[in-house]
Amino acid sequence: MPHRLLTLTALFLASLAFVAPAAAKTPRPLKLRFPRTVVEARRNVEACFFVRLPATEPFDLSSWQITQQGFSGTGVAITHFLVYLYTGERAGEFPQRQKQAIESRACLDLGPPDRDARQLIASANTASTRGAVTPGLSLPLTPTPSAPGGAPDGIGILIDANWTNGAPVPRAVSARLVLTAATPGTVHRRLTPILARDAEAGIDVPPFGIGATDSLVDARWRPPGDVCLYDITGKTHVRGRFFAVEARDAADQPRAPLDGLRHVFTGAPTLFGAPDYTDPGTRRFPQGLLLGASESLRYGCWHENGDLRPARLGCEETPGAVPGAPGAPAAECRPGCTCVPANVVAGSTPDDEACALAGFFYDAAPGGSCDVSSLPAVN
Amino acid sequence: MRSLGLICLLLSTSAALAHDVPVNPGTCTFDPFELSVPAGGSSATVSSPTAADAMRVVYSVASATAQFQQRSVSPRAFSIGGATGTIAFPQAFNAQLAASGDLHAEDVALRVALGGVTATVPVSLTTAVAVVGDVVATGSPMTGDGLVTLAGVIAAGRLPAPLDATSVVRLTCRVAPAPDVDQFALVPAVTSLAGVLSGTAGKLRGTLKGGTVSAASISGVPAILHLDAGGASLATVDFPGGFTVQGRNLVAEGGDGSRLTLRVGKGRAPARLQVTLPGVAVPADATGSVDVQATLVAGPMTARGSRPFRARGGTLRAGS
Repeated sequence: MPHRLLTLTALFLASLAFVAPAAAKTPRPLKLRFPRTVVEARRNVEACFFVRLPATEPFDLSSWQITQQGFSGTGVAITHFLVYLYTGERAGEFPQRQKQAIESRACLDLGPPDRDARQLIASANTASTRGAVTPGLSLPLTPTPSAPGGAPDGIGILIDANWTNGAPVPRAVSARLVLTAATPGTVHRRLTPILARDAEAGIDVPPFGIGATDSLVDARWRPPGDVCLYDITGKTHVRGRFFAVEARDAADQPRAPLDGLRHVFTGAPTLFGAPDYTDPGTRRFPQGLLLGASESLRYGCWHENGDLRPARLGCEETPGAVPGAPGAPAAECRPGCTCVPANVVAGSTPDDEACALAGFFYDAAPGGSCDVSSLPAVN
Repeated sequence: MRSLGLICLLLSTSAALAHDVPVNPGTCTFDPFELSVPAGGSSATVSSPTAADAMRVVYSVASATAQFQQRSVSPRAFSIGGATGTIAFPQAFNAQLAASGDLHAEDVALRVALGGVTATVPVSLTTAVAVVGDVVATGSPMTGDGLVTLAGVIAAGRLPAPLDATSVVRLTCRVAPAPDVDQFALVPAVTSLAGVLSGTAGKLRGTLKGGTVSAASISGVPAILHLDAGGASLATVDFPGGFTVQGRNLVAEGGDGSRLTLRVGKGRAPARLQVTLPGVAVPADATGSVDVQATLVAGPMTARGSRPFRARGGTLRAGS
């Protein structure tokens, strides 16, 4: 019961931060609490918690602190603690006023069909973690609508916690998250999100096969001008085996840095590579990585369909024809239909796939510099 | 400022770690492969397996799934009552896998060709217990060395003669390598089992501990209670309508007057189970301590538990 009160208090305090914010005053920190969660003995639990903070204006995030309780000497380890900003337009379809976290790998089993519209804004794998956006920058937590077409009315925060209990008895854990706004007059550039999903048109993997999106689609993110990359990551669902991105120069040749995880299938160097769909990690460039207007990020995903994980099954609609095609995922098996192996294609359900490049950039300073300290403040 | 910069530097790359430990695929070949018609006392002679009959098993911890694959379908030949035929699995079917080693595959489309007639019949395969009418089939959960038996019952009239009476299929295989099932979904165990079982009345109580028991997950799906005593079947009661919510309780009622009552606890508190049966046939010669095992199936959930009961005069008792 006390944790519920704390949660309500935190939500109340958070909502106060958005009531008539005084000009030139730093908004109050947002304080959130991940509810007390019991991890059974020798279990690995990934649990998700969605909070919606009433707001109509962006919150200029500058730093955060994540504190997790229940770890010292208990045998419980933190595998990951990820904080996402929801950027879709169906926030009202997430569980509201959650009292308990919901178990789900990669938080794919809760929320609306556009649940993949989210950006990783903070993470932790220690009991107490502080983080900050590079001085001079801020990460705007932008409100989104509850329903499509509605006015933005709240900031959606999705927290994904993965804890492992090595003890022979159940353990209770919880967490606190404090998001702090930038001090007025200190922000010279605001980060802009990247969420590129063109590669999804290239997901078409037959049963028992492995497929690469780049065999069908040359997926690119092209900057709107000279920009500085701040952070990049990738996104797939459960059948994603690898996400890779590289920077291409104006001549469309791979350019440095290429010191990311080597491609698990081709061995090629990457700017960033990720083999784990639940926690892909991120590649951060605190001082910015300049990407010219004529350059691009080329990205792609490798998915499997029945190799190491179960094949996608779906209802057979035409006898002899494998169901599922790009733009039309196979219907889920149901009583009365003939359930057969289906093609893996992009879709919004956890059983369908995704391939997205996500992250943040900011506009370069005049002259193509990523040092924005001499620019006028924007907040 | 300097410290903030340092923090940024430290956070510049966050490594990707494995978050659910991948479970390596395995293979298994159903042998023995039993196909029988209990009413007629007939059993099929199923051909010995070949390498092509092996099934590959892959797992998803995220969805608690074991998928049996046979990319190139290999029908098994059999003969029964003078007729010959084949039986084939689909290219892939999913089974829910629990940390207890229990598997449950809903509506697996078996394709049976017999005497020139071909029929595809959906069969639910389980390591627990399956019932159609008076016909009961029991499986056994996967052991540490991968040995597992799936059982299913096919209703009468679904297959060509002579399998047109209610038929039983039992499939045993040893999955190699055996998967580490610890990561899969926890299921409740029946604990604190107590009560009286006799030819005229049966009353049992117990708790369902561990895992998750909720009205949403177990109501509205068929339920079965199976009791074994000393390894022999004591009673199997079918509750086709499953549990329904009645006030604070979940209640399932069988056609023979049997009744299951489950009170789901709040939070992590165990659910309390009460069973009323019209009577069970306790072997008259049973004496001393007899291990009674209860298996409760509700949809994909299988809860098991056992306790020694005292046998005396055709009655089994445990607890106060």
